[in-house]
Amino acid sequence: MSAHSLPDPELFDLQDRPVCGRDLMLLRQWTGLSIADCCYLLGITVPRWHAYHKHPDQLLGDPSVALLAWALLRYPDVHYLPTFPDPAEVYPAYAHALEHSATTLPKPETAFSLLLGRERAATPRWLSEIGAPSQTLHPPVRRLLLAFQRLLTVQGVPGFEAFVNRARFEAQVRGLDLDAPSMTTWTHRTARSPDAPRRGRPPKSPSTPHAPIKRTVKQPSQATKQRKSSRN
Amino acid sequence: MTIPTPARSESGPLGLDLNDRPVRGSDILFLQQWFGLTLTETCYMLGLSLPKWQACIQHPDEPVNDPTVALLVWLLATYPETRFLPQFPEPAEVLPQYLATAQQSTKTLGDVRRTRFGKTAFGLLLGREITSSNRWMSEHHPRQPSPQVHRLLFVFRNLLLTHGVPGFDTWVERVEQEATARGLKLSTRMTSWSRMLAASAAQPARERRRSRKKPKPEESAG
Repeated sequence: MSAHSLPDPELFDLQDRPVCGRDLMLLRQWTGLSIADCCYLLGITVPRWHAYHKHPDQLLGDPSVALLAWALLRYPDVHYLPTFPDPAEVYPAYAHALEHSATTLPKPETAFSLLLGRERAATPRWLSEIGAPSQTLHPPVRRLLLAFQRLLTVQGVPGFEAFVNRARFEAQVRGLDLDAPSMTTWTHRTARSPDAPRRGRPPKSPSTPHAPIKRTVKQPSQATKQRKSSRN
Repeated sequence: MTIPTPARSESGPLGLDLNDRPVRGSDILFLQQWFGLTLTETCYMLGLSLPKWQACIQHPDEPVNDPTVALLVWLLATYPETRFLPQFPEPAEVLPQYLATAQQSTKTLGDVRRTRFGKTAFGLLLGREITSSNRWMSEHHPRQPSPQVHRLLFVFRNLLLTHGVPGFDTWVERVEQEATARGLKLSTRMTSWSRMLAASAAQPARERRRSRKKPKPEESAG
């Protein structure tokens, strides 16, 4: 479970006053959680969260939530949310399992994100991000990273192979082949017929940097014409 | 709220046969029911927004669209060691630690009678009623505490384990402060947070009605 670096409660000025709605917003800011994650932290629903948000200076209707928010701010060591690892923390265990496994994956250096249900290009992006990339990751990926890390820790290579087989199966039922180097994403793209019109913006021509902009002269409206004629 | 960990069988530890079929929307609902999770808790576990959860549930027989979610559901269903949600304790697991710590504390319920903290005050200290602990720990029909209370039990237990009597005293002082802010006094006469809140809100209104001056006939005439 996580060890959040929470503030001194004196910063919140909670020593001599009860917990108010705005303290929940501050709790969220300090923990860096999304609203959904904060609702899980406090065991409340999203509508209840918004109700507290609307009345920042009012006492919390539920004294249990008030006591919980105070305790989480006052005693950072009693937090209970799991810490989701960064991709860079899980990648070495993945590389180690792959190295010792009989399983082979095409382009293993980018297959990491593909195994986690994302596109190949995500691996270099995840591993190059500095700071806290997990905050910007897709929430299910953050959870899968933790579960995958635990699987590798407890089950080792057999667990890894079972996971790869499962990913192969999930790809297969989606009409994809995980073992094909051409599989770069889980989005199933249907083949386009040569006669079908291309979608999206047409490619830019290398000779002309951009198409000449057609200037249109704005014609005065009927009301403007009337105003001018009345002035004259 | 304890997450069950039955013995692993061929069809997975939950009896969910995912060997020859993809993860479907109905499997998400199955996990939710099996773990006894609320909607908020399920969405947190899988990292789903409410609309995405609804989309999965509305198509129970279709494969889950997001492969990440599908793999996560499969992992959680197949390998109990991958489950990362905290296990919140039941009231009966925290009560002995609370009673033992309260015995060593000098804190009492109220200044006049100076009653020691016992089982009845347990519910009050968790923001609930004095009868709550009986309901939670009833032999025949135990009621589940709310999600907030489950989390508070986790925090309270760990506070008692790590901070002992000083931690307990700080907790009681905080409860007193929150009660005072609601027009209540933590004493043997306090039975609930909500009922007394309603009563104390109604009381000033009655007093106002009693002290309201009736307009004299001559004033109203004038």
